[in-house]
Amino acid sequence: MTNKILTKIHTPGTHNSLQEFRSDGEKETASIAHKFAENLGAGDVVAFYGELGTGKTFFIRHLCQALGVAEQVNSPSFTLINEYKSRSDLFVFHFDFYRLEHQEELTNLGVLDYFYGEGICLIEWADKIYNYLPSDRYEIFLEFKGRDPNTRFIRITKKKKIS
Amino acid sequence: MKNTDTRPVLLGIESSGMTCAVGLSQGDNFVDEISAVGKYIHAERLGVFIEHILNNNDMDSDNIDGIVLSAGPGSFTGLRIGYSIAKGLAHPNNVPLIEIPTLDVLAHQQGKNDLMILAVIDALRKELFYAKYSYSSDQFLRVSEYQLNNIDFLHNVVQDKTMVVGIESEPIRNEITAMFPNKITFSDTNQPSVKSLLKLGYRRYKSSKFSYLQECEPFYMRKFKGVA
Repeated sequence: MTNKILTKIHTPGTHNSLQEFRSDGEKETASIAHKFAENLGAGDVVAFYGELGTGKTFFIRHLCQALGVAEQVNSPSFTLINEYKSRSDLFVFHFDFYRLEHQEELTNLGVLDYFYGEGICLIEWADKIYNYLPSDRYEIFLEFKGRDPNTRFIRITKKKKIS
Repeated sequence: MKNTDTRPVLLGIESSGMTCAVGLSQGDNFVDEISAVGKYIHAERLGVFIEHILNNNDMDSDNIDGIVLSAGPGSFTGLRIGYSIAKGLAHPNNVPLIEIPTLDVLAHQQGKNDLMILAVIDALRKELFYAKYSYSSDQFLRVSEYQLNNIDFLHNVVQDKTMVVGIESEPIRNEITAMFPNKITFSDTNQPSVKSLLKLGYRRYKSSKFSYLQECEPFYMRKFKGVA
């Protein structure tokens, strides 16, 4: 199937690029996730943003499927982190910071070891820890659009700091 | 062979970074070490290394008189593994735990030196953990606070000719060199050595500077603050 790419922008001089998709259902969202997975490799960090129910976990579940994760992928709402292994033997770390109350909890989690390590980090509710995200990262925004509860706008950006 | 030496036996544990190492000393004598360098190896190997080093030297945990731990800063995960194992050994064997800041370990493993020593650990996010040391009376004295700052902040730290120890990353080395042309040299020994750790640990052991087992925790230096 073809996903409806609405916009594809590369901002010259910034190393930032943007892709926008419209998804009219789970099948299309899954397909976008599968395609996006082709970009990911060791050390990549993906920050997810979106209200409750926009499908962050659903997207990640299909992303993990595409990466060859064999385990069941559920949101780590209480444990904050799940750990999977990809087909190519990479660690995939799945974070959910919805229930994070104090930044001090990040100390116990040792988040920076993960964010700057060699696994792939998938972070739900990344806005809660925005200041600690690596400057080189993908960002995925999922938004409800219009009256159809199945329709989403999905924006994917790649941020890269110019050193 | 029965060990008849009555001087205290110290077990050193280094897990604050890429190095996973254990060592033994007896009094002033460095006895043995086992080490490996790599990511994600500490949980798997640290316990095994301790078992092997004790076996190799005809000892068991009853022979240990104290545990010396590289306290960080460094890898959160590595430090927590080191602390878990050290506390797990210290408590049932009723032996003291001695924590040594890893920056001190890095500085002290340098030979006698007229240069200022800047011990540095990569704190990620373009930040560095560091402290300054100068050599005096056969030892390195720390002459600054332990600091966590952006790399640019080194402009306020490096005044004299300085040897930087602890940085292997070429990009960071290049950045520091560009900041201080002709002032900086880099050490060849940039992983904290368990030998240096044990030497510092024995000094503290002799003056009974022990950590309170129930409350000690890694010297993370970085504090995450505020409401999420």
